[in-house]
Amino acid sequence: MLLRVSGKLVETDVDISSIAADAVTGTGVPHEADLVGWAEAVLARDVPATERHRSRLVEDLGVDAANDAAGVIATFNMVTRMADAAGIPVDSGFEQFMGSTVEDAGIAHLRHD
Amino acid sequence: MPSLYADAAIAVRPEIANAHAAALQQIAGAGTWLDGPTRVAVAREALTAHECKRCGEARQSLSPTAVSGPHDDLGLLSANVVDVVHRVTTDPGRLSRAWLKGILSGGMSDTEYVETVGVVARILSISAFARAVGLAGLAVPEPRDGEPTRRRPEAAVLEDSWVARIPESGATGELADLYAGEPNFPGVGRSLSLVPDEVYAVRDLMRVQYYDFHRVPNPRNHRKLLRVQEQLIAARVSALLECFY
Repeated sequence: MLLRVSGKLVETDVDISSIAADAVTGTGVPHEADLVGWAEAVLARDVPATERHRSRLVEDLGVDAANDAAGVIATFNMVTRMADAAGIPVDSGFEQFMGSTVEDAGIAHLRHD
Repeated sequence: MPSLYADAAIAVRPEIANAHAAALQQIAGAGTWLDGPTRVAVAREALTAHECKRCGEARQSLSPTAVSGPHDDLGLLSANVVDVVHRVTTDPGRLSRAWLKGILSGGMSDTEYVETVGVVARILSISAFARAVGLAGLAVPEPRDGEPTRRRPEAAVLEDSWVARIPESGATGELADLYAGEPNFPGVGRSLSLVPDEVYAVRDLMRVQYYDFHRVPNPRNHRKLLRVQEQLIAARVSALLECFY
């Protein structure tokens, strides 16, 4: 998870404690609500919410940024399934690199058997 | 030929539209182990699996094995293959080594499994993008004739994942560019390397949708969005799909 590291690069202290919760709040990432809301709406097949978040992101950030965001949603719909279906381990050294991030994000239970 | 996203709610970059159109055509042709009709059937099954009543009940259960009975399917594939497509589509975070053993003992080869996963993962990726940009429906092209090549890479070995993969040191000869010639290619990029063409196909989507695999670990890379914004989306999608990786 590079979220915390990339937050440091833009001098943002990212709070990832809600990333796996029912609602993501207070991460400190700009436009958090619409970025997360758009991704959630796409996964939930919620067309009105998809349109609402997309419209706001296009208005606030522009259509190129919206393309980027849609690309991330699409990519992680793909690579997560590849990783889970192949049962791959996390790359060596990655967990050490992440430090307390796994516990802070509440995702330790998602490791493969 | 009009863009795949001509009717989308926002303008889609031509390189993304072209890559998605090419990927759909690639899915419709013969692969390494599956013929065109089978790959198209897998893709169409994946696009409708979210409507399956059994999968919906399983998602609500403490264990996916608590629900039995047939899936609601299109009737184009064997029950074993349908189970793979539906589970990878609707409940990927609770796949297990034991479940995969059952699938393989049910008559599906490890290579067929990997190729099926690749087709499912890619069609669901394109479908998610299409929904995000407001395209009402995504049509999988009609299958094309052709015979699978059925070539198992000699370098693939069972390491620490559930299926064999080609280690970085094994990407040589005609597969020298499999991992872009880059050291430390992320493990997820190697996950389907038992069928090398699936790695190439996934890389083609990664390149236009996100980053080349070898560029992902560098947090300084970013596009119009800040990298921290991209990572927020990535982390949330991964959490919703219950993926640790």
